[in-house]
Amino acid sequence: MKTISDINAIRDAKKHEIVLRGEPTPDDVRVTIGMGDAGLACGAQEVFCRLVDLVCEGAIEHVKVMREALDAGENAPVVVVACPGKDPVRYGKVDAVLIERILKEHIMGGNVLADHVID
Amino acid sequence: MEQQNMVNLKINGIAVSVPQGTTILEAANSIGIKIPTLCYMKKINAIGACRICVVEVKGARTLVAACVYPVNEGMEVITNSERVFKARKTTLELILSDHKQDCLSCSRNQNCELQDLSFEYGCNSHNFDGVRSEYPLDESSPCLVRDNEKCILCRRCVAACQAQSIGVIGANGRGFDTHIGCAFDQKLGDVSCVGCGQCVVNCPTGALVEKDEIDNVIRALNDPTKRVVVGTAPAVRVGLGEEFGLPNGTNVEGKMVAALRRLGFDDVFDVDFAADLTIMEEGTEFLGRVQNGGVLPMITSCSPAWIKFAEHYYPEVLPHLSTCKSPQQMFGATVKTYYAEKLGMDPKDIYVVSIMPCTAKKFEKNRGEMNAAGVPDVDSVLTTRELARFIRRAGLQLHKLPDEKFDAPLGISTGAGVIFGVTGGVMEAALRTVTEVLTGDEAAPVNFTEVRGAQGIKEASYNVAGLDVKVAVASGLGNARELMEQIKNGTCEYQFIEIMSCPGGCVNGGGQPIKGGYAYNFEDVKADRTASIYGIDKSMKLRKAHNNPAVKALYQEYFGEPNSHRAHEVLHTHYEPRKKF
Amino acid sequence: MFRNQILVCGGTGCTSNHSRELIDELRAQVEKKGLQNDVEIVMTGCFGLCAAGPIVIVYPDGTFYTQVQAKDAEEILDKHIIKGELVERLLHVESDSGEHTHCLSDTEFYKKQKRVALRNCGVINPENIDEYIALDGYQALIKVLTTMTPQEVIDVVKGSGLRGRGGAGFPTGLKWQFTKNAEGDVKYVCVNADEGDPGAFMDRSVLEGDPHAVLEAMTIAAYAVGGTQGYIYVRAEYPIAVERCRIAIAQAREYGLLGENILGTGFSFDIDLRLGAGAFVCGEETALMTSIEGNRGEPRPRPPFPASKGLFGKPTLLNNVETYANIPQIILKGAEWFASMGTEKSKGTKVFALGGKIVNTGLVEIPMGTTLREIVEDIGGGVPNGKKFKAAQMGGPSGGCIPAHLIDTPVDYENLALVGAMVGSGGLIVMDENSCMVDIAKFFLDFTMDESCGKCTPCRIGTKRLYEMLDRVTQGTAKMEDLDKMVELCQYIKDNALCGLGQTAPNPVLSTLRYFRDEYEAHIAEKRCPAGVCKKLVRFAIVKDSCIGCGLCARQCPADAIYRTDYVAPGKKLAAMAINPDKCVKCGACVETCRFKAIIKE
Repeated sequence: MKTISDINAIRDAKKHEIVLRGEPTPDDVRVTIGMGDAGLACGAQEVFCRLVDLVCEGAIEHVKVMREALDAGENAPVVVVACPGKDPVRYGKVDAVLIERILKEHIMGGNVLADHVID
Repeated sequence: MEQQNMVNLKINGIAVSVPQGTTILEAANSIGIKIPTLCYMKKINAIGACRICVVEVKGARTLVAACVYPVNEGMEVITNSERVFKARKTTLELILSDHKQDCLSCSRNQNCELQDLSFEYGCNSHNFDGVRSEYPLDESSPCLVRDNEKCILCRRCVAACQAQSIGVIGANGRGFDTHIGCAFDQKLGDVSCVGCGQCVVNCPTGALVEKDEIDNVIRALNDPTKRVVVGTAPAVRVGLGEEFGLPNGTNVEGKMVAALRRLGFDDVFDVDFAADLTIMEEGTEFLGRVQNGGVLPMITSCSPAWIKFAEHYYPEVLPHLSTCKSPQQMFGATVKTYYAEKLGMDPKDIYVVSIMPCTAKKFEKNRGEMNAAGVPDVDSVLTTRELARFIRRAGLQLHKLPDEKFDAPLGISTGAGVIFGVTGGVMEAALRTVTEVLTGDEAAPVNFTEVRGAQGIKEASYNVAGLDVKVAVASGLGNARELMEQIKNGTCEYQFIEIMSCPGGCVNGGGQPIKGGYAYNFEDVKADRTASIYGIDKSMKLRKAHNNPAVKALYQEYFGEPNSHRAHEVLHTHYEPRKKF
Repeated sequence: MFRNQILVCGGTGCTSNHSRELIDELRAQVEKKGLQNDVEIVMTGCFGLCAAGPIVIVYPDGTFYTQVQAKDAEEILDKHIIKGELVERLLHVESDSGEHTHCLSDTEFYKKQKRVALRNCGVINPENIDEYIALDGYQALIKVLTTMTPQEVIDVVKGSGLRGRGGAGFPTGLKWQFTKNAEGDVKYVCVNADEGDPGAFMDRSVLEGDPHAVLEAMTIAAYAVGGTQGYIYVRAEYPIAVERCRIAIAQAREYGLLGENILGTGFSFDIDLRLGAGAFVCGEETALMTSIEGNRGEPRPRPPFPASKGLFGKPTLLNNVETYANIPQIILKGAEWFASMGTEKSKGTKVFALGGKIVNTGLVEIPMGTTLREIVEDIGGGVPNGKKFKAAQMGGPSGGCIPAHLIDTPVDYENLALVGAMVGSGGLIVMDENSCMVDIAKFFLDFTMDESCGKCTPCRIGTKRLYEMLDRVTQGTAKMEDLDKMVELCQYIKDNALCGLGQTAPNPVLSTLRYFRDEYEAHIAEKRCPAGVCKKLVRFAIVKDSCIGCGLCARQCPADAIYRTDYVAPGKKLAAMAINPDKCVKCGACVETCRFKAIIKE
């Protein structure tokens, strides 16, 4: 037999896993990692994994981690951040450290990291 | 006192005010508007299935079934618009399109509710020709015949059987292939159908009819080697007249006797005589059980559907049943022993016919143990309806016949005999004799009104010469079941119980004239027939069975005394548990 | 925590396409490769794009793989999970563009959908109550039990504008109010999961994919109306749904979310399953209830209505599965949120089961008011093989068809009723130029006639006679006057039948007659079936100038109906063959045999 707080505790614990699932809705932030040949060769997989781990640990809702073969060229790995209602922002040469900053400062904090933005 | 809410509505523009909960059908009837029905049976079959009773209700999306639709304040009902007429006509034509149109030779010709309505609505029976259902006849029961090709699926038979707490028939199959039958489509003769015939008297068409024995009787009457003897049950004389257009319950005893004589029966006797005889045997048996610590309560045994019911469903109460045969069987047995000897005839050359308000009697006469003279006690049973058909076939106009009397000796009876036809009658007849025997007082009471009446279960307590007797009377097998449950779980307080299978007793038997759905729902035919029976009783000079001179003579000349060895051989029987399927 | 979650559809459709074996193989491969801590294999409910099953979605990136088999399991793990490369050949291909899409949400199928009732289907493992709870499951119940009165709950449902999703479209809040107002110490809350419409599987998918949503909603409803016991009446032909419900009920009971003193609030309610026995009519509310009572499943006349006198003579609330599936979110997000979707009188979303001649067969959920064109062309991917859209049957055997010229009709209760169709439970069958509308009507009528319970005359005998009339049209033995007689009989049945089955059985006939009367008339007057479907009215003939006389067709013919003529076509060596129409049984074997396209069907 569970109490209401038990139910809430289950929700909070399970959220970490569930947060990765489900199709994006208009309220979600879409973070797309460029994982074409160029991206993968430059460590996009690492960036991807790091971001996913952060989202899981923090049980961060409304952030969807996606992938596509983006035309990255020399800027690989490229990451595009699309917040609801805002224009997408394109970052270049993203690594595991930078992606953590993007998550905390841009996505959660609302401040674009202008230094790393590319066209 | 609780105030009933009245509802005001309009039917065909006429204002009417009825209690809340009344259906449109009932409200219409109260102002003389008869909405036709086929499936509706008050209380037991209110299912809105046939769609004949549809009416227009202002504001409703579709037509509604008047038999189940409750009235509400301000409702406006139309029962006779073109839309309603067309709908009813189409419904009838659809039924006709899957109906064996056998009217000319069907035993319900001119007394069929489908016929009547089809005529009223100007139906074209070929408007919806198409595939027809084919079903074999079920002739497995000695009492009745089922023809599903004439069935309109009104479910009245199912409701009647369930009201009897038997329920051996129900709907099988689905959609167009729906048909009424027993579980797994077994035959009626193979399941625990008791033959009470309540399904037959409630069927609107010829799908259920009694098993016709008229031809057997005609053959016997034309057989020069046979002496054909007939006996009539009490309830027949107050039902037969209805088959000839007379008011419900008219006593046509005299004309019935005249008709039977003209049909060619050699002896026209009265089974009422045998009813008096039954009281002698059964009253003595009862007193014997009381005085000698025999099995109590004792239960009457004149209703063969009840006997079969007990054998199937309550074999443990069989020791409680009186060992007396029913009046019909005592009658036949007496004819083939005592009367045969008197005539100096071989019982094989005597053909006994009984006229009964009952279909189960057709089963009873076939029971293997019913053969006091080594041949069946009774050879043929004709229901009231069959007798009427026979009389018509013979060209006899009942109302023009003179009133004649039964032959002696087996045509003499008392009021105690005739009241066997109603619920409570056997009990009252027994009480009349037992009280006089116990008190020795000739002026002991005649009327025991406590056991009269239409209630399903009646009870009464008497103290007769220091003996406390608590009695119960039940009619309808559902009520019988209630009493049997009491016996089973040890809470039964009665010493003597009368059971009749048919609600109200034999006057409402499975072999009586069929009055149709309207009579069931809005009239009380059995009340008329019952009143007539009590009227006959009151008018008779002799009202106690033991005063019947012919009965006295019978004991003197033949049986010696009630419950004698010879009486046991001829007039008593035994019972066997039966499996349900 | 699992970084990668591979979701595989375990609904009935994909299961029959071996998705269970795929799941087992994936799990085995995960073990083999030592990926147990990185990868979770999750069996979910239906994603909706059943035509492309078995479906696999890899989260977090949401890569959408279709028609995946067990033999693909290892590659998915090696390539996608370990290396990060997509398995291109398994990606879904859009039918019109021919391009790959990566995510389900990128497909035309998914873009216009709004998943409310289906929100958890394809996302959670329906056999794990914790996953339901993780996505705010049972929060609505907590809110209701701790902060709302029963009347407040009903007011929210009323305000949302939710209407019964089983077909009748009766305002749900109003039904709850009637049941609450009825007097009784025992009240029942029932779910109609009989889903008898052929081609409909919305309710099945909800029960298979998100059973707890229904349980939670039933409990909320019980609180609102005073219910003491609940029943889920589910058709026995849904074994997976039955199993999921059983598991869900057991889990809910274990957590104290069902039973005595739920979550310590003092409110008690429990739910049991009851299985149907194969009768479409038991989807009718009174027949359903009498079936639960153990009787033959036949409807009863109304009044009295179930809200006052239903199951076992007690006040009973009966709603459809999909109706219930919307309730938890309405409670959590509010009536205004739900009412902001849909149209003025038809609020919210509706789940449709797309079937027939359409590329993307499957389950979709869209806001009310979406046009039929959007459903068929955008979401459905259009009619395959280059054929033209002819009509869409909506509402199953109780509904009607919408012809091509009305394809821009917005789909909601009012608009569909105006054109003679109905939303119904959500079945949507698409037809192309090769569908004969008379045959379609006959198909649906055959179904309702077969499923008639047999209690009332109009349905029992009326549908049979109507079917016989339709059959005569397809056999070429009908007369023009028969059409008017058919219409009259249709209207009689609608006006007189005891229950909804009979009352709506004539709809497909009336609807096809309304929009495709010319087809009926061609069958009768010309003894011709324009779509080439009705066998009796189809003629096979050999074009004598195309025939080279090889005689192969004659050898294939099972009825010995092809013979050699005397005619030798110009340029040919052997005499041409011909078909004897009296012997021909219209099997079409000759057409398939002929390599010279010399045999035509007309």
